[in-house]
Amino acid sequence: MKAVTKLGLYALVVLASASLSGCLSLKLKQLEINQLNSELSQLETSKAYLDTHPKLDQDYGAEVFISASAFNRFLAGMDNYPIPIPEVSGASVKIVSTRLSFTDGAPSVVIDAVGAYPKYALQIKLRIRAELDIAADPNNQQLVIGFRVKEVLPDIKLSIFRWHEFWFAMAILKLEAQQYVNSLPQVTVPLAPAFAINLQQHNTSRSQTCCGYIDIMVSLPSPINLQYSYQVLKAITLQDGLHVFFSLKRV
Amino acid sequence: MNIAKSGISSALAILVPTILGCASQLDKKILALKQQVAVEQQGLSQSAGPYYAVQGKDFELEAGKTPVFDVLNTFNNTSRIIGVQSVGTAGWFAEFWTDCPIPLIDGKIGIYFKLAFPAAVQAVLYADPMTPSWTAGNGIDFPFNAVGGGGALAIGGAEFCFGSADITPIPVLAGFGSLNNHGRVDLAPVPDQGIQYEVDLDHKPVIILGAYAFGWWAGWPLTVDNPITQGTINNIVGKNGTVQITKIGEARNYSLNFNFDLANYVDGGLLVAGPIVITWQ
Repeated sequence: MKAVTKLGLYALVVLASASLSGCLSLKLKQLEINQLNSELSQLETSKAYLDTHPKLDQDYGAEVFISASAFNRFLAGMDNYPIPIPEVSGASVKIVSTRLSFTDGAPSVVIDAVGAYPKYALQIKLRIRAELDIAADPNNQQLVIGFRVKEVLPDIKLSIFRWHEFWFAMAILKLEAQQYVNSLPQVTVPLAPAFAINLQQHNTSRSQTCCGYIDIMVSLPSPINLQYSYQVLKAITLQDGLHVFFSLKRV
Repeated sequence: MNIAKSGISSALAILVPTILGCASQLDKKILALKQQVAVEQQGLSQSAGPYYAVQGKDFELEAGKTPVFDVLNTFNNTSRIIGVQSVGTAGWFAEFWTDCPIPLIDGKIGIYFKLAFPAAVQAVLYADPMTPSWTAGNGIDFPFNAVGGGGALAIGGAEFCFGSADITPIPVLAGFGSLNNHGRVDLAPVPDQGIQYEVDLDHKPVIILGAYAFGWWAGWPLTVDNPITQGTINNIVGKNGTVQITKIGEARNYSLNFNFDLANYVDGGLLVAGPIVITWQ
């Protein structure tokens, strides 16, 4: 009878391990599906925007472009920052690097992250699904570029026999993605108070004469200073980088 | 023992196919989505053609042409009287001379004219309204017609082998004309600022200074060099920003240096571009 019970317990453990392992594999696949769906939706909205807004078609349009490499140079400034996991003392998620891989459509947010639990010398590779979020903050005159973390999953084959790893992976799984949202790099790009165009009232040039010179000043009736406020209309990522479209309004 | 064995077998018999079946469904869905993404991406790439940036540039700012036309219209709606005055001078603006006739003396004999004081030339020019045309690559071009006149005060002097001396003030008439001329707006990138543009004319306007002096009528041309006027269009993006991890409060500040090295006219407007240098603080 004792032997039967022991065997039953082993069986349950194997079953649980297999079930969790299978569950994690399904979750990773679901993560990929979610990623593809969001990519598809962004592709459709970007295409719809470009198809209906020929370049600089508006009377007062402007566009700012930041290249993929420049953008990733921003992000490199925050490599290797740890984010503590409050539920597990001493453990942390380390964002080794966050990079954007640009394509026409949604850029892949490539986050190289590991869950680290030094107490048991554990390091688990993590897969993080995140979306790029670009918003204008006109009050502070900046463009805020952040990430929305949708899912965080340990990318390992679970085994109940590696108990600490198993338990740590479970702790990571329990974390809500929201807990990471404010923990990834947020880039703020400063914007000028206004778009301005001006024409000097006076301009001086030198006229050489036979044996000397005369400085001649040409003056317009008045200086011309035109100011335009702007509004961010749309931010689109293409294979070469980030394109932000503005509308200008004369003030 | 048999009961336990059969329990495990039944559980695995249910669990494994369920997971495997589910996984295979998801794999199919992933494949279908990937194909759909590839098709959409191809469509977007076609629409995105005109939007790709100039290769090798970190940063680009493009602005529609209307603000530039606003500037020209603002000028057209003013009095369009352009003032021309001298503000500084050195040396003479004309002279007539011959070598000194005295042997072994290395000098001149003749007369010269110079402005009586730095602001001695005062003229006004009345310009026709500018009606610009816009071409990608070449930029803004407009016919420029203007006529005007004014006056000046010059001093006539003489030099005689050993030295020179001012003799008499001479009133001078200044005639100014620039007919059938063409103007254009040239662009230049200004690092960290944006675009500088200059209004240049194909032919430099000429002021003719005419006077009756020492028994003769004489006229002297004085050219006004380009640019006629210039201005700037600023960059929308500023210099200082941060990369921040808000939750744990760590942030790194950076400053941006825009080393603009290209300013050009494109179909829809103006473009300035160049590399960015990020300096972490």
